[in-house]
Amino acid sequence: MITTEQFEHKLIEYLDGELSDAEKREVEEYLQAHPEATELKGDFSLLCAAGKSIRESTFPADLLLEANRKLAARLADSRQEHVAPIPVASSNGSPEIAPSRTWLSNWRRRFRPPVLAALAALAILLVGAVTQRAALADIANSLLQRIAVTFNDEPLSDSQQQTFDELVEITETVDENGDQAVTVNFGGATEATVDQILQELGDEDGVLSVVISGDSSAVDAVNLNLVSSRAALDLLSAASPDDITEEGGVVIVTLDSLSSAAAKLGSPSPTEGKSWGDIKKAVGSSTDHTH
Amino acid sequence: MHAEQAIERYGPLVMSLIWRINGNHDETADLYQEVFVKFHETTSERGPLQQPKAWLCRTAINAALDFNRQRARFVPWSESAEQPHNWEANDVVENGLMVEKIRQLTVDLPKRRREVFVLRYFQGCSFAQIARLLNCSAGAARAAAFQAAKQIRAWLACDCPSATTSNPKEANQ
Repeated sequence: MITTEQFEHKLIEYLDGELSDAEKREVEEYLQAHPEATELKGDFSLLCAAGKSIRESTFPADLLLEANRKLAARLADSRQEHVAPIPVASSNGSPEIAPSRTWLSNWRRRFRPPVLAALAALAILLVGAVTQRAALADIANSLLQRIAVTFNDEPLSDSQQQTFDELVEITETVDENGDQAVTVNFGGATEATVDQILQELGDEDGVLSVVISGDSSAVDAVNLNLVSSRAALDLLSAASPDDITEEGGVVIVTLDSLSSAAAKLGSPSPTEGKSWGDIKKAVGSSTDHTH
Repeated sequence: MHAEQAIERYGPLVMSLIWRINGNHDETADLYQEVFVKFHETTSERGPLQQPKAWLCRTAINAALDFNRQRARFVPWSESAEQPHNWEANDVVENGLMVEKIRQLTVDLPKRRREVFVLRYFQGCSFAQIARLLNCSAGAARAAAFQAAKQIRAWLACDCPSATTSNPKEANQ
C-alpha cells in the first residue's frame, strides 16, 4: 500500500482523473484503510471543482486585442526613445505603400468590381517602409500570415476558397530591411480576368476583398510607424484610379495625379521635380489635418 | 526572443493567467502590459531569456497576485465574502463565493506554492508542465500543490480571509 506521503502526492491527480488505473486503485485502497483521509479527499474535491470553475473563465476576446494595441504603442514609444528613426527613403522613386487600417479600408473600397477589372491580372506590390524596420520585422512577419479573403463580406465557402486559390495568387514577403510586401496577382497563372473570377465565385457583381485580419495590435504597431506612408495612402485613395499605372509589379501614381489628390485632401500640393520622399514629408506633416 | 515575438506566442497564455487570478477587465489589461514591458526591459538589458515562457508565467502570476494583495489592503473584504463559509458544491458553481475566496487566499501562500497552485488549479497544468515552468521536479511540484491546497483548506475552514490573517502559519495548524 502507498504511504501517506505518496497518497498526498497523488490525491490531486486522482481527483482530476489523471492517474492510471493501477495508481487509482492504490489511492482507493489507501482511502479504505484510512477513513480519516476521506474528509481531506472531500475538501480537496471542492478545491478541484473551484479550480475547474476558474479555468472555465476565459478573458473577453476584445481584451487581448485592446491590451496588445496599447502594448504595441508603448513598446514602439520605448524603442523610439532609444533608437533614432531611420529616414524613409524610396529606393526606386516609386510610391511606398504600407499595410495599415487606412490602407485596408482604402484597398477594400478600391477593389470593387470596376477597379478590380481595371487592375485585372496585374501584380500589385504593396511595400511598407517601416520606420523601425528591424524592430517591426517580426510583427510584419506574423501580420502577413493573416490574410483573410471575403466575398460579399462573407468568408469564402470551401468551394469558393478552392476557386480563389486556383485563380488568385497572394504572396507575402518581408525583406531584410523589414519592408513588407503583399503581392496580389488576380488571375494568377490562369490569366483569368476579375470578371471571370467573380463569376466563378458565384456573383459577377460581388465584392472580393483581401484583407489582413487577426491581430489588430500588430497592424496598429505598424501604423504607428507609418505616418508618411499613411499620408501616401490617403493620396492614392484620393487619386483617380485611371491615373494608376503599373510597372514591374509596382503600382505607380503620377506626380500630377498626386498633386491633384493632395489638393482634394486640402493638403499642400507637391510640385513636380520633388522626390517622392519630399512629397511624403510634405504630406505627412498635414496628415493630422486630413483625418 | 523579442517582446513582439513573446506577445505573439505567449500573449494569450499570460492574459489567461492574469485574468483567472485577477478577473477584472481593466486591471488585467494593465497587468498584462506591465508584464510584457518588464519582459522588454529585461531582455533589452540582459539579452534573450533562456526560458521566456517560464519567465512570463512566473512574472504574470506574481504580478497579478501581488496586485491583488495590494488591492486587498484598501478594499474591505466584500460583504458576500464575509458570509459564513458553506462547503456546498453550489457555492463553487453557482455563486462563485468559494472561487473568489480562493483567489484572495492564494495571495498569502508562500511564493513557490502559490505559483504551483495557480498553474495547477487556475491554469490546469500537469505537474510535468509545472516542473518545466518552475524548473523543479514533478514530485516537488506535487508536494507544493498539496501543501498549498491544504493551507487554503485550513484558511477556508477557519473562515479567515487572508488579508486579515495576522499569522497565516497559525491558521494552517
